[in-house]
Amino acid sequence: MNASPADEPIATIDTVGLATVQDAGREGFTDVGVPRSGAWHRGRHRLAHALVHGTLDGPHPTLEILGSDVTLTIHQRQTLALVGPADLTVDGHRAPHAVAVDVSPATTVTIHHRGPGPAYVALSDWQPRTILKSAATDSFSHLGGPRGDGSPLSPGDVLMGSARTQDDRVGCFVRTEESAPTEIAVVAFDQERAEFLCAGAWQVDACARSGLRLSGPRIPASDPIPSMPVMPGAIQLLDDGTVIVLGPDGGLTGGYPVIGVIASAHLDFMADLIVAATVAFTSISARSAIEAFAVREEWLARSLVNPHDLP
Amino acid sequence: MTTHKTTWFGDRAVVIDVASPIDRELVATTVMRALPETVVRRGISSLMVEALSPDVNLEADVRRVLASVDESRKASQAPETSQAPAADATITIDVDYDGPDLLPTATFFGVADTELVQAHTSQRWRVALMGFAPGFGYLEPIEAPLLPWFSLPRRTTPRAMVPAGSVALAAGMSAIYPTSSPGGWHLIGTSRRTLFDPHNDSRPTLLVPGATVHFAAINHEPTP
Repeated sequence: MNASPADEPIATIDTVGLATVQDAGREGFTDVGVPRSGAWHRGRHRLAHALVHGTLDGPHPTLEILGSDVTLTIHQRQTLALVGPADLTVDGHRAPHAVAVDVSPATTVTIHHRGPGPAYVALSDWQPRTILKSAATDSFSHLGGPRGDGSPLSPGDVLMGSARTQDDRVGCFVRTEESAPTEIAVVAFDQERAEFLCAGAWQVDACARSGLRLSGPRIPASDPIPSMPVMPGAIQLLDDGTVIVLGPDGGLTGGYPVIGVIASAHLDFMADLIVAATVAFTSISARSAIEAFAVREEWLARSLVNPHDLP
Repeated sequence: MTTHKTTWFGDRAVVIDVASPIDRELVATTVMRALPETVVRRGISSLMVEALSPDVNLEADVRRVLASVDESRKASQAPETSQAPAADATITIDVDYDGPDLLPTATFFGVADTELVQAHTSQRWRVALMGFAPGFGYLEPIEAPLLPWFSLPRRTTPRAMVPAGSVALAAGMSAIYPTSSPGGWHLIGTSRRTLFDPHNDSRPTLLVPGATVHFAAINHEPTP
């Protein structure tokens, strides 16, 4: 029996800390209770995707590495790119970061995660199985990932796909690193409480893909609300004054009052906040947030350099 | 102008406050028809209209649709309650009323367990919203409640694990747990229907927002 191209093992995970399979997420099922999930730091995922596949947006997966080192043994030649706070070695030799590199069969690739925040690895011909049109690992809904149940990667997991068919992306690189803003922009949903939110610094007490738990200035309590739809970036106020910022696996409905929602242009920066980090917020209008989103999209597009296009 | 309040929810969604479940269903179906490129998600007393990416025109587009809802209501001079959109076909869920909380729940309402089953199966329910878990529908009574469902609070201590298929009641609503999960609702029965099929890309959930649900008791009487 002939194996289809996606049936070939392209790499085996030898060691791994906390890493999941992610992509752009499940589009079109939120109304029936299936969250989008997908990459926490979409900008880095999209840059890694673009380095290997040529476009920022597309269906291809990345490894989202949230902690510790990951080691892979490569079985089929691939173009590989790492974007984010991590270093790359191939057979023990330092390889460039944020550059599409060629990796041969039988080489050992190690991603040394530095953090804070997630790093992303794209492989040119990796084709994981999908559930509801996406390979994204959703810990909330128990969907996706190597076993299809939302669990993260484990040693021994095999990435399936095919040998590289094109090498025209090797050498493409990302021009600059992105620096975090001093204040995270929020579009107020509850004007009065948003002012309290923006009045002082907040400390991260817990962080996960479901979201961040913050403590900081006292915000006047608000009555519980009838369950309403929520999305990643929604900032909820709990009864005890704790603030929750929802992440990609944070669920779709909530009964806690919503103070505001992180501007799309700044949501990725929440993925970089770890326990004991501090963060400050500033309130902006929806129109300003949309303008900031357009500026960042332009920056992302301009960051990519294909050396074949240079004069 | 519209009588509905709208508020930006971040930069790619707008929340609409709705006056009643009937208003919510009417507005939801109208917005879905008028703005097909958006996703409309339901809350208990709100709707969220979500664009795929930040869109500066979203609120104006939503308000234009809401104005048309108000206009058509005015033109028909009909009270709001007569304008419910046509319901989907009724979904019947067969239930074995064997839940561990059946008797205590009946006692809470001051009725016999058979009367609780009678009320639960006679009530028509509507999928108000979906969330908590894929395929989990929050079901609200369509007509006047046959028991004071709203008076039943959630359990003081949630269960660490509720079995898949559990039929439950709490806070004025009914639900069926699609998968095993923690849960704080009162379990009155069990259904064998598959509520979530992750391998069905076209319709992964049995329930959909706005659908009508009818529960039917499985009869264990031996046939003569």
